[in-house]
Amino acid sequence: MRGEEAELDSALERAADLLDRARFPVFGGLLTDIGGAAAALSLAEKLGGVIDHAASAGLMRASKVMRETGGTPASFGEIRNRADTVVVIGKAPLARDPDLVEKLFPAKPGLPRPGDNKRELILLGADKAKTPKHVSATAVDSRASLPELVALLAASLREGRFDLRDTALRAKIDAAAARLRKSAFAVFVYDPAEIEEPVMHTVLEMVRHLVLTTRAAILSMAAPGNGDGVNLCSTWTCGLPIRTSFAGDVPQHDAWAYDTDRLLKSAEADALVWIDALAGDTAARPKGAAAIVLSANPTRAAKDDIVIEVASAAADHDAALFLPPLSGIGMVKAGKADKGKPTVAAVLTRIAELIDERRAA
Amino acid sequence: MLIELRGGRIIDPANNRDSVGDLFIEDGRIVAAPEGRTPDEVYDIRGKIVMAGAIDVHSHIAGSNVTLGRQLMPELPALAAQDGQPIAPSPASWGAYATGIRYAEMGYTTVIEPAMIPTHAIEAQIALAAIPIIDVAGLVILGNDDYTLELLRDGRGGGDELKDYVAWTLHHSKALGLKVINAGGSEASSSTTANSVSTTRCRTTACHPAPSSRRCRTRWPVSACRIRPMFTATISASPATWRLRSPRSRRRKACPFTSPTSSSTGMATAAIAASHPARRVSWRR
Repeated sequence: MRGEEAELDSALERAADLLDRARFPVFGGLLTDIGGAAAALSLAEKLGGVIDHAASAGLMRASKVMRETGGTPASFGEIRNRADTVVVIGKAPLARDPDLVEKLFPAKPGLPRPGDNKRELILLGADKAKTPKHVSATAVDSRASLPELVALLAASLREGRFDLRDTALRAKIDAAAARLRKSAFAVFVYDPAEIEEPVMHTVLEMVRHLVLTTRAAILSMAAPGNGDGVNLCSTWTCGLPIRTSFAGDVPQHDAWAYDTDRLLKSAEADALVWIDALAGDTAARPKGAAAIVLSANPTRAAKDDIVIEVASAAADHDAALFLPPLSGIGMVKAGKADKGKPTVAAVLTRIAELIDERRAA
Repeated sequence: MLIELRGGRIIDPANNRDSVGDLFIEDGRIVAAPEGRTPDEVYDIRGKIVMAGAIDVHSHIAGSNVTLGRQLMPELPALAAQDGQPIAPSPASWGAYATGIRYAEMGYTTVIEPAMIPTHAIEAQIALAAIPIIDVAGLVILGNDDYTLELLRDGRGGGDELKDYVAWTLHHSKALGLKVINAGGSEASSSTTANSVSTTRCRTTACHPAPSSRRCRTRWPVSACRIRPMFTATISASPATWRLRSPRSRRRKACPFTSPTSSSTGMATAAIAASHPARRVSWRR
C-alpha cells in the first residue's frame, strides 16, 4: 500500500487481512487515550500479540523499582501545598514541564504546612536560569555526572565520609544535605526516563533515611504520550504492565523481550500496529515489519504502510488521559470536536470484527 | 421473549421456597408460568441452583488503589494459588476480566468497590466498566481531604456547605454512596514528624481555647491532640436526607495539653512520652 490516503473501508479490510495472517503482531506507539489502549489490548489478546508503548523505557524502570523496593510518592497537590524543600534532579523534569516550578511553588501560599522553614528549591544537575523570582533556589550544577551528584548528595545526607577534590561542589552538596536534614517535608523530583535504576534506588534511599526523622517523598514525572495511562489500563485489564505478550496461555510480561524495536529488529514480530494519535505528542514509527499506522498525522507513515487517519485524542474528541496534577486519569474535553475522523478505539474494534468474520468463514 | 429455566433447584428464602421447579422470565422479569404459551428459549438446568444473585458490598475490584496493588505485586495470584486458593496462578487472575468471570461463577451479580478516591473516580469508573457480566458500583471516600476536614472543623454555614460538598462529590463521581474511613485519622498521625520538628503548630481549631490564645502556646504534634470526630454522619440511601448530628461539639473537653494547671500538663507530658518514646518533644509555654 503506497503512502497515499486510501478509502477507510478498504484500508480496514487490508489491515484485517494483514493481522489475520500475522503470527506475532506488536502494537506499538500507543500514543492514544484510555479507550484506544483498551481496544489495542483487546485486539492484541485476540491475536496473541504484544503491547508496548513508545515511552516504555522510563515506565519499565519506574515499574521495576516500585515492585522491587516500593516507593514513597506524594501527590502533586500535597507537594505544592506542604513541601518545604524540593530537589529537582536532572534536566528532564523541567524540560518535560517548563512550568513545573511555578506549579510546585505557587506565589500565594496554600494550605498550612509543617515546619517554619522558608520554601526552597534545589536544582541538582540543572541550572536555575528560568526559576521564577519568588522562588528561593540553589543550583548544584557541575561537570560531575548526574549519578555522581545524586550519590554525593546521598553520602552527605547520611553524613558519611567521602573525599571530593572539588571543594566548591563539596560546599554546595553539604549545604543541600544540611537543608534536607532540617526540612519538614522534602521531596525529590525526577524523570525515570532520564535516570537509571541505581540512581532511582539512591534517591529512594535518601527518602528512607530522611523519614527516620522527618517527612520525605518523591515525585516521579509522568511519561509522555499518555504512557502512564496506557500502563495503568494494561495493569487493570490483565494484571500486567505494558511490554506484555498474549501469545501464550497466560499473559506474560518481559521488559526486555517485548520491546517494539527489538522485536522488529530481530524479526520476531511480523506485523506492527503503530498508534500515534495524541494531541501535542508524537513518536517516530520504528523501521521494520509490515505496518498498519493509525495516525492523526499520516505524513509520518512509511511508503508501504497501510495508513488509517484517525482522530487525535483530546483535540478531536473527549479523551481519558493520565493527568499529572491528579496523579491519575482524568477526562479532557476536545478542543473542537472533529467527528469526521474515526477514533483509534473505533478503528481497532472494527478491525477485530473483520478478523472475526474471516475466521468464522 | 419468554425464557424458561427448566428443572433447577429454586432457592428463594423470601418466599419460603427450596424445591426443584421451572422458572419463567419475560422482558427481564420473572413471571408466573404462562398458560398455553411456548417459551422462545428453554434452558435445561437440572442439577443447578437458581437463586437471587449475591451482592458483595465491599470488594476492592477497581480504582487506583487496586491497580497500585497489581503494579506492586503481579505475582500475588501465583502466591495465592500456591496456598491452595482455587485461582489460576497468573497476574491476569486479578485483572478486570477475570474478576467479572470469577464473581459470576460464584453466583454474584453485584459487587461494590468501596474505595473510590474523588480525584481518581474516572479511573475507577473506567476500570469498573471493564469488568464483565456483573453489576458494579463504587463508594466515594471523603474525610481524608483538607477541604472536608476544614468544613468539619470550622462548621461553616451550619453544616450546609459540607452537605453540598458531599452531595456534589457523590454526584460527580457517580458513586453509589459515601465511604468514610477514619476521617482525619491518617492526617493527624502522618503530619507528625518523628521528632515533632518542634514547630508543628497545634492546628486543631476544634480545641478550646483557640490556638492563638495565650493558653495554647504549646506546640504539639497534631496527633497528640487526639482530635475527636466532631460529627457523626448519618448516611441514608438518599443524599437528600443526609444530615449531620454533632453531639460532641457541644461537649468539648478542654485540651488536656493546654490546661493551665501544671499537674495536668505534667501528666500530659508523661502521656506523650509514654506513647511516643522515640520522639523528642519540645515546647514553649
